[in-house]
Amino acid sequence: MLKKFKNLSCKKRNVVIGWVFIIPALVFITIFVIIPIFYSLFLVTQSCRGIVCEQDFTGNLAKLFADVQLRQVLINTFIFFLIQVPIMLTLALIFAVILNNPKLKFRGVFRTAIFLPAVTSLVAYSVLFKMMLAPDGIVNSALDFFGIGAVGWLTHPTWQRVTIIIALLWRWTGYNMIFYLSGLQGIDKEIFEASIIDGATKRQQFFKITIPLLKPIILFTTVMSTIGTLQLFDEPFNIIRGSGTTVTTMTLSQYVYNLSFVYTPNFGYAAMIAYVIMIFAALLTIIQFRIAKEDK
Amino acid sequence: MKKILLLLITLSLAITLVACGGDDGNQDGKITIWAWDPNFNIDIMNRAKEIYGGDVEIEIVEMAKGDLETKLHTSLSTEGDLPDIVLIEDYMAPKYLASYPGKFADLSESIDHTKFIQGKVQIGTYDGKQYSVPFDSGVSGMFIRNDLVLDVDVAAANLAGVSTFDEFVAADITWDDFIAVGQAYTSRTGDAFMAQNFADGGGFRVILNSTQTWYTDSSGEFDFVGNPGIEEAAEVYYKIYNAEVDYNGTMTEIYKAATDWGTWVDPLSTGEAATVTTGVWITGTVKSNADNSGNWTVMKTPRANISGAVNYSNLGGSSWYVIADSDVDESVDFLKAIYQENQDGFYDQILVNNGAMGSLLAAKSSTAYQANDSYFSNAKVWNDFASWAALIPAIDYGQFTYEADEAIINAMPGYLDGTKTLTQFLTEAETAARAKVQ
Amino acid sequence: MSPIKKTIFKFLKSLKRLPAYLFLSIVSFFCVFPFLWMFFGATMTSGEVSSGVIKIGSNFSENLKVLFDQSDFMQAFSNSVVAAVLTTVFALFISSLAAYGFEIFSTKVKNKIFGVLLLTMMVPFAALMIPLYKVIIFLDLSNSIASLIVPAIATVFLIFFFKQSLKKFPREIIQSARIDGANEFRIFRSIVVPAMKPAYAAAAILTFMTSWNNFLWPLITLSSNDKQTLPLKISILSSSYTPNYGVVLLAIVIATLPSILVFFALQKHFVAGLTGAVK
Repeated sequence: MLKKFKNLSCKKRNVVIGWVFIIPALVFITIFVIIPIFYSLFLVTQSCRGIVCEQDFTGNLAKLFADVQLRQVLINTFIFFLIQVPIMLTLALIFAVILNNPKLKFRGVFRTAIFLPAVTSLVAYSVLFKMMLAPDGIVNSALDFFGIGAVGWLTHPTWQRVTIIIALLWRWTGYNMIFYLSGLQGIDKEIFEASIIDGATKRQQFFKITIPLLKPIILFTTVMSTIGTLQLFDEPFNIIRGSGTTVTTMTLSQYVYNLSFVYTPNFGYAAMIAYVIMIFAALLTIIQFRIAKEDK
Repeated sequence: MKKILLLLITLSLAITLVACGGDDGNQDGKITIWAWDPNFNIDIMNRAKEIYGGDVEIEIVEMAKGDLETKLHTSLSTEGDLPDIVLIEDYMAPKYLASYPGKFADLSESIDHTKFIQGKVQIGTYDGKQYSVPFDSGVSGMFIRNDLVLDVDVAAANLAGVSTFDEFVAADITWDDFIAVGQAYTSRTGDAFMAQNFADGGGFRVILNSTQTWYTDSSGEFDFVGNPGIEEAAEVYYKIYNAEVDYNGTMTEIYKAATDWGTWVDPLSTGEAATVTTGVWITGTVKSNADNSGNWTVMKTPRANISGAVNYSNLGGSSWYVIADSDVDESVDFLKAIYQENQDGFYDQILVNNGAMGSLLAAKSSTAYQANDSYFSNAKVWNDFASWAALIPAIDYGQFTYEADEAIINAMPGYLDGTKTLTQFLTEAETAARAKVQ
Repeated sequence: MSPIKKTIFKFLKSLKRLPAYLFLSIVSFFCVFPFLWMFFGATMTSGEVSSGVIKIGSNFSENLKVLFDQSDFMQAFSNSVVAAVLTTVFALFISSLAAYGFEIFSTKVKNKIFGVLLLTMMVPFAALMIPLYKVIIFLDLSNSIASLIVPAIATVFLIFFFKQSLKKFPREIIQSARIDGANEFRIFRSIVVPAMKPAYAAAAILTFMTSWNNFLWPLITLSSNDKQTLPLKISILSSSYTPNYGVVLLAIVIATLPSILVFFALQKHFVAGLTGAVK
């Protein structure tokens, strides 16, 4: 086989080598991702109560469109997505740019501080937030002290959403900041220096140099945040559940979890809803890729 | 190229090394038990293990309750790793039995179920066969602080025939009586009479159970609207939520808002709640605060205001189940010796050490059950609980308890603050519950 | 300029950055506060924690003792370490290799395949965990640390990240290396990887953390006390009938330390641009 390889043209050889780079990953992905996906697609055609399953794809589909709880859950998930993601990514970018300035003192300290939340496990920080936001927890005590009055962080339908958004911002902004920082490191300083000679202001530098060069990383973070928020589960599940109603905060993934483990388990319908999530995520991702291409 | 191959080989070697340890789970001659809570269930099973002795190796795996339930679902539906014995909460049991037929061992022949509280046995029965070894009873009672609640509070409540604290705790009171005393207490002290988590269905279920109704009727259909038991439970909640009194010029609620287990349990030791009405298993937690010895009295559960309601109810309780195709014989021998035959006075030991009330009928006549409990000022609390346990209305929980719970809790806030009528609330909840059943 | 004028000038200049410092300090405080509360809480008794007090309590050693008396806490710690380290090492290697293949050797077919892979990333884990568990059972890997490592080795997330990071990599360098006669793997190893240090550092931190904090998957695939990982133990601790908050917070502190250490170790690669390597 090696002889055949050596006889190929340079271009063709490159193609083969390219495959060699990819194959190990593909093997793992096939076994641990593709095969499970096929099985879950099969589940989509089933309607189950536990292991008592029957073929019922059209039934599942009909259920999908008649499902009132699904609509509420979709609204919740999208509200989180539309509000939290833009705020978080903008903040992350601002932090990264500020912290990328070599003249700023204590950069390491700030960087560590802002990234620290990303380091906690989701279960741990949900427990923390739940304790801090309890009706007479430390946050409400402080609010009382300043005369603002306690807030139903965990119990009031609207404030619950605020709580989740604050938790998400706290937890994930630093995480995305790291991506932007790593991207900023790849930008050649000379470009900035040249632009200063040309008389560019900081603002112009930011919008005309930094952002365009960071575009691949920005696209990466928007896509990942989109997918992550659409799949949001841990925060509503660990912080809100059991403390207040779940009407305004139950997300798509939480619904899927409930369908599998809390209500009478219907793994088939749960799988179908999971693919609804996937379809939305795919659509949004395609849109984002298109926008990125257009700006080129 | 070579380097890649080399790496892949090393990788697979590394994996096989780390992979050694895959458990065989079932049929390995060792009894594996899955349970939650280190101080209660796990401690009790450890004690059982010691008492049993024997040659069989017994391993108890600890998990959080919710995690265990998730894991049980995934393993039962995929032929995954399963234990030999597993603890299942009674409200959850019918769902597991119906969803995974054939996965649990049929114990009808091997365990004598007539020796246990029939209500508990019913829960573990499916399709005419018995699958459970009944474990702890969640018989309910009201725990009340005798140092905080005073005669003057009872008197101010204007209850018929009851004017002192001692008369109060001896009487068969109703929820209205309870709220009246609570209001008197709060308007005098400004403190909460109880801790209440309106997002947790436990209290609701206590009331329901005492009225001999449940979320689903005998045919398994949700039955909220016009259901006297459910409407009464909702009204009690409404009254508690809205029972504000004037304390020194501020409108104060008679309950302390709780948002999870911790915030519900803490007020018991700090005195921020003067009562708690829940299952007997709270005794361990209550007693863990040694400073309050002598300050707690146990009385009957308040009664709902409809005909057929009683002062006895239940919250929680679980049973042991054996997984089919596991080390069934060894597991049954173990469970039988301990839970059915009461080896070495097992039930007395767990009563005294863990505050756990078992479901074996014969165990109730032992000395431990008849003893005076010094923490409760030498009252015979266990005897009380045991006699109440016999009077709990037997309920068929059906498969959809948690769906109903969620539907009720999510629809309730509007009703509590007056923006929805009772009928609107229950209709909405019933529709939501129906939608959750696939 | 006289020395006095110079100092005043410098001082005024640094004031310009004051808003930035203020902003960053406030943000940092919000980020760090829960940790402070956590650290303090780990030294207090359970009652003190729930009463909302903030102080350095005297219960630290007591909490430590209780924590280590609990079954297998250190075992869980070591399980988590093994899983996280091995996952990170293998994942970084295999995923960056694949990303290089997709990006530098891109062809229509490869692009299509990458598109499919991206799609797979969007399927929520909730839908895949039971089928994945079935695969693990089939491979006889259930209840093993390997089952935590192996499915995480080739994540589309990492491949995507490395691919994007490679987009701006100057192709001329690769071309000139090829002309010089170096083989592709050599180019990858000696030229590309060192230049990608910031990306590798970021990926390492994130992969380590993802594995370290992973909860749902270990719950499903592990079923004996000695195999459980830290997040599972913390879940057990915090859901007991009589939760000991001081101990819970201490456990969380210990569970958080390794991630913090890994971050400290790797974060210097975000400092002082390594763009020099490109030259």
